[in-house]
Amino acid sequence: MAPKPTKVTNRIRALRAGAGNMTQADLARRLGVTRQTVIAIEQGRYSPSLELAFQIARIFQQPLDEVFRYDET
Amino acid sequence: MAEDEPLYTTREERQVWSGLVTMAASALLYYAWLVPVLVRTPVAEISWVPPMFWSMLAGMVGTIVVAIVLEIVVAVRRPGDEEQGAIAVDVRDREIGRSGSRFATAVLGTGLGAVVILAAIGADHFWIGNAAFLCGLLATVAEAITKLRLYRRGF
Repeated sequence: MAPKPTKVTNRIRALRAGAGNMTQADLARRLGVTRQTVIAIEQGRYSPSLELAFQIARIFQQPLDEVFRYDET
Repeated sequence: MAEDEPLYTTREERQVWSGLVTMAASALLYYAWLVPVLVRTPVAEISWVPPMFWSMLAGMVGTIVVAIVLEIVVAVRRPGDEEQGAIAVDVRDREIGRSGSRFATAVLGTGLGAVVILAAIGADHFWIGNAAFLCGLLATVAEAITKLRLYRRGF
């Protein structure tokens, strides 16, 4: 498996599960992006813009660093 | 909606694929005609403009037709995607588009430099026209490959 292109990891999948099993499509609709973009973010294939990251954190009512982590190792 | 699903193509990515395949195919047809002619005919006698024109036209029309067919196929095979029809292009598509265009501009600029040099040294119109054609083709292919790489591998 190819290494992920970003060191940014996230807990979006877990947060969706905790938010009443919100689907990727539901989240995509609320963010105004395609479902493929949500999938890419969850899989670590796309680092979202700061604005999109804040929108995601706001939807889950979490601080930004509870949703996204930057792994320096 | 299934979770853990593969990273399906977006409409934008499918359009990149259709553009790449049809433009490359139409250019290949042009070169398949040109190379044998070039071997046995002096360049000044080659009537290259109509075939090049038809190749470019076929590439553009083919891109549109293939894109429409692809969307019909996707609509039939993945009907769930219709619900996000309102979001055809999002922030990720735009970022990928900008990266691809930046790369294409660099290729196009370099190629046009070669075209200007050919014109400056008084090269035959054949070489000038074909250098411009090749330059456009390379820029198109470079842009598409850059975008597809970003779509598939991420960034």
